[in-house]
Amino acid sequence: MRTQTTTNESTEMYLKTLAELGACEAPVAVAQIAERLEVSTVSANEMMQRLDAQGLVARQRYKGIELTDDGRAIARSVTRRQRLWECFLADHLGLNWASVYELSCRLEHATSNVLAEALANYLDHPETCPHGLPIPEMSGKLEDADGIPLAKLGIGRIARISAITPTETHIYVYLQERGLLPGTTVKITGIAPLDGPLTLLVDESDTFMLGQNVAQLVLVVPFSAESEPAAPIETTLDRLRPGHTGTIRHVGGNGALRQRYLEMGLTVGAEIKTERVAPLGDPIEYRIKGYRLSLRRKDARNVQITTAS
Amino acid sequence: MAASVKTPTLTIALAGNPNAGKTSLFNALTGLNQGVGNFPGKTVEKKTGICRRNGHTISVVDLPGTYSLTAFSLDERIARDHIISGEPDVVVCVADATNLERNLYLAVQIREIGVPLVLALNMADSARAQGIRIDTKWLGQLLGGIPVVATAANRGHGIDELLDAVVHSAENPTPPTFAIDYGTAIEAAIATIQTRLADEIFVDSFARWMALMLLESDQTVIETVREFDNGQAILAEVGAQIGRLETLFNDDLPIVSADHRYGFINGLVRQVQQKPVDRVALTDRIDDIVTHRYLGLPLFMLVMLLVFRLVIDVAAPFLNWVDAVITGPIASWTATILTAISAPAWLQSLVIEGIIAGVGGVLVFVPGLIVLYLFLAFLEDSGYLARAAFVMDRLMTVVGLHGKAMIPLILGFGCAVPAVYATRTMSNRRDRILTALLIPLMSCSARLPVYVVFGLAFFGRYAGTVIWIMYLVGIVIAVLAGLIFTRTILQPDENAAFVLELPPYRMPTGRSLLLHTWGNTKEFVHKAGTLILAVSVVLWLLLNLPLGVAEQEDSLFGQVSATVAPVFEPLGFGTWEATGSLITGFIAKELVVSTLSQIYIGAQDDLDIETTTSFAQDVLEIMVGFWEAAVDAARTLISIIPGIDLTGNNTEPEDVALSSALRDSFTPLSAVSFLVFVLLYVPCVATIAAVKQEFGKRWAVTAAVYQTALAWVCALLVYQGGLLLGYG
Repeated sequence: MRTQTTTNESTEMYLKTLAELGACEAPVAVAQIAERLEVSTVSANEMMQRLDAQGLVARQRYKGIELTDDGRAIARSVTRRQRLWECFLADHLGLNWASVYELSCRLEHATSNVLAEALANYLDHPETCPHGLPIPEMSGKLEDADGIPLAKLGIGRIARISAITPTETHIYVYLQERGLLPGTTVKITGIAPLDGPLTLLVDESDTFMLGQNVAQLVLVVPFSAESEPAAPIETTLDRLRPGHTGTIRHVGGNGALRQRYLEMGLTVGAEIKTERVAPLGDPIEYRIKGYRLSLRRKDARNVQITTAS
Repeated sequence: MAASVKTPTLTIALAGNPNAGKTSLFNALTGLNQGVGNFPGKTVEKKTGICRRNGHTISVVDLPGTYSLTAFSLDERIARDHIISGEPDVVVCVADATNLERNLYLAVQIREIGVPLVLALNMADSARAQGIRIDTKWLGQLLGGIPVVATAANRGHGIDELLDAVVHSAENPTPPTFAIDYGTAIEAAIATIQTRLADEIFVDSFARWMALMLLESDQTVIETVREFDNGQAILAEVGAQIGRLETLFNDDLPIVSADHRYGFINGLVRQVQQKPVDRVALTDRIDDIVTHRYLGLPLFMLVMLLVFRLVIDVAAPFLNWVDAVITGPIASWTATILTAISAPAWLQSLVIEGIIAGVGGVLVFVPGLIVLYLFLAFLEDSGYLARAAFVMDRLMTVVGLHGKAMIPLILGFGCAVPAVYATRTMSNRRDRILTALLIPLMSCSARLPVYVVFGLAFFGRYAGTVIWIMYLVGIVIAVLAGLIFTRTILQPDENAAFVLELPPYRMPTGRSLLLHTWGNTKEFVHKAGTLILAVSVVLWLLLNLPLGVAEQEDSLFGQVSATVAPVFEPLGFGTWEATGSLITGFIAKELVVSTLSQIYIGAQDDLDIETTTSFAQDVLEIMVGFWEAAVDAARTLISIIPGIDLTGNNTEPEDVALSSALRDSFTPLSAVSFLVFVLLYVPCVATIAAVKQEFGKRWAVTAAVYQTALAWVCALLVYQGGLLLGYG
């Protein structure tokens, strides 16, 4: 009985790790599994032979390991139990977001299906774990989290963090300290040469560097016209076309100029509409707070706005 | 008791945004006629007037229109210094009810100072017409219990109620406390500084305001505090607080506090105002045409052209009529009266040849000026001048100026003196100086008589074209001068911003147009009546001294002029007569014509005065003459429309008496050279005095020297160039 459980636990760990590494879709190298589970390649290989014999994985020469349908079912079940525990630990026991993964990894194997479903009922069937990864349905398939790795986002694009792929606790802590949590908006403002660290702008306020390997763990969903139809476009006031309306986000320029703008009602959050452009292309007439004001193009450039169109 | 009624018992100050109708309210209160403008910053000087209400005599001070009291520009400094001075018992803040939110910013700033304040919600009629409803009582409550009165100053509505509120506030001078919550951090800083100011400032609300101003790095208040015994310590404390707060907010404190103020106002407006959704206003439809991509500029040129056609052509028949009346009946009546009282010959000579010839020669042009001022007043009051600034801005940047400079420059066509004062609407000193230097190149109305007289004398029915060209030459030279100044002594400041409000179009009320026109014309007549009269008398003396002088050339005036005359020899008009008229022209350009007419017509002894006609006959003649002039003017007005010609081009325009005398002394070429000189040289002592007052002696001297030199060089080029081309 004891042996059975141990075998099960070990099997489950391997299957879940395979699933996390993407073995549902494409073969995974044995070395990768060994590294992730911190075991030797020899023992990992040995385990794979055993799982292959049980029909849970399929070994493909030179390509690596893939999960079979049976293997996938077990992996899904384990993942479900683990992520449900994560929700419980983080949301109900108030444990640190960064620590729940490691704790739940121990609990998942001691959890029967009955307990898992009771837990799901208690938690009101959450859809994602605290790290943003989907909790698979009992009979559903094991879905991948939405998004692409942050490392692949590219300079200048803005994206929302959708999930953090499973990793070690100290990396979770590292990300948590920098506010890189699911739901946060990020933008890559620079990438050091030779695939060096990324420079990130987080929530339009904090800037810091992030290594490529960590950036690989952070999944993001880029904002685009399709996925986020209401996503406002950031631009400057001089580029707001006649007939269009924008919202003032920031007023720049030197002190005296900024103050004059404020006194004229160009406050942050105020709505401003471009009425028309003077015959010679400059200045531009705007409507703000119910009156008409004209500004030169070069001055309007100091006013940052967001607009829907 | 009777004596105490005569002395003002109350002083109030009118503050408000440009375009809020402050000047209209001032007129409605005091009955004095002031210029009523509908473009930002019309009122630049502190004007005062007196009004009475229920036994109180109230002295009213009209402050410059400002958007805030931050003391950025000269206007704001003037307004704020006056409010803080303690001179006004009550401050009346005039706010445009159709643009409440923006207008309340200034009201809130004044309220924060803690002086007794009455809020006049002006243009209440326009607001009602737009469906805007404002709960005045509730608004007053939210502003800390001040009276709020709805007015429509241009119609005289609400004035009595406003005065009652003013008197009531003056009798209960301690206004309730009012404070905007600037948030925990700033409030703590205010409290700290306020405590330290308590030794010097005893009124809590004023100490709070000073503390706030110190945090906003207000220079005036900093200077005041520096004088205090513990001033240095307070300023050090302020510096520390500013440092702490700016790190906290990550922004400049004036910006943060302005944001709070607008936040307060935004909430306040939501509570007191109901406003229907914006419709496409008439203003937008007019602007679609007036500021149209292709139509905007031609339309502006057309408007300016129309103004001058009106001034020159339509006023011409009236001009001839006034001329006929003065040289005819008036001169003859005067002669009759003088003969009847057996006045000595020299007195008759002084009155008829000196005073009537001099002043009369100027009064003749009053009809043209009335038309000009009426048109300028219409453009101002209707809101078109602000559009002119909008449309012309890009062009003005070429000369290194902004569209706002357009307004003083256009005013310069009327008179250079108010135009120089109108430069105060620009916050940047460099822009103001450059504009003031260019204003005299805009042909002011005083130069028009010279153009008209010479134009009619030498170019007959092409006189209009010649005059139009003179205006154009002035503008072209102004552009060139602007280009040179911008690249040499007056390089542009990169930090200056162009912020121009475009007020909604309003149909000017006839009353305000007439007040405006009358005020300006009165000023001109006043000038003709005092300064020019004095100069005419002095001139007559110079012409008739030493005693018993026979020829004018031998008179004192002739001798002075003859000495200077050689300077103008290369320009083609080195005669003592021309030189003499230019010398008096330094005093005022109107005098160029009056001097010439005094020399030429006054010198002709055959100025034949009929003393035989009866008084009744004369009066009838005057009336008939006016009617004929009106008919002529109406026909000309219609013929301005292309294709219609009622005047009949084959009739030569009638000569003014002076014309034939001028034809004997000038060739057409030297006449043009003379006109160019008159166009460009120092407009008058009054303009130079205005420049000196605004920008100091250095710029006054610069202006005088550069303009005279420019005039001499340009006239030389015209005359010598003309000779080379064979126009002798």
